[in-house]
Amino acid sequence: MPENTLHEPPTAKEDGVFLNIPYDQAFEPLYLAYIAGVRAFRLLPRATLEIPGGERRLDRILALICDCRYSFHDLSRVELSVKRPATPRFNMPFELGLAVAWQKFREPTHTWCVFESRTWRAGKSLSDLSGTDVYVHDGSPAGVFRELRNALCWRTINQRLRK
Amino acid sequence: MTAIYQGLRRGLPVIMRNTGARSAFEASVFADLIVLGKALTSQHLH
Repeated sequence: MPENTLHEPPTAKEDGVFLNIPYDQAFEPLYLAYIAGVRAFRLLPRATLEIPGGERRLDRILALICDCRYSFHDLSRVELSVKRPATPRFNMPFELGLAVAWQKFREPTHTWCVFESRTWRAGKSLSDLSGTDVYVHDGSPAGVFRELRNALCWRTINQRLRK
Repeated sequence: MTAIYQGLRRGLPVIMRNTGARSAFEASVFADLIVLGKALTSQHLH
């Protein structure tokens, strides 16, 4: 993140959605589902994939979160890696924490949403989220569509009311 | 959403072939999927 943004928060793009999702082959159907669903709401999917290397990765992630009106955090693959030594994947919960801090302390209009594939798991793995609605997509594209509708329904309603 | 998703699924192999990508999680593929998603949205949602 450029130094001056610490004093002057950048204006988030109204249609930007930061997708905090795992990048692995097994997740490919849900990756496409998120892009399709976000696009259907005429929003712009953003991800760390799009940023060229060079800068420190953490700075790039922060800049991206700050640049987006929404962030969607899919915690369904926060699990131990298959390769030894088995290691939990902390990137996605860490990036969720960055988005929560951004919303709490600098940009109250930023909206973050948590997605999971199983109902009970987020509460167990990240109990700090208790009291937060977790969108459970059951690991299916249809579930992702359903939960994106739930997460963004108020946006649609507001748009209709403004017409 | 389903129609857009199906369009993206059909388009992904073509995008990967055109970009020479080895994974759907490469920057160029992501960029092309976003563009294709926009076109599909215009086509299916009015």
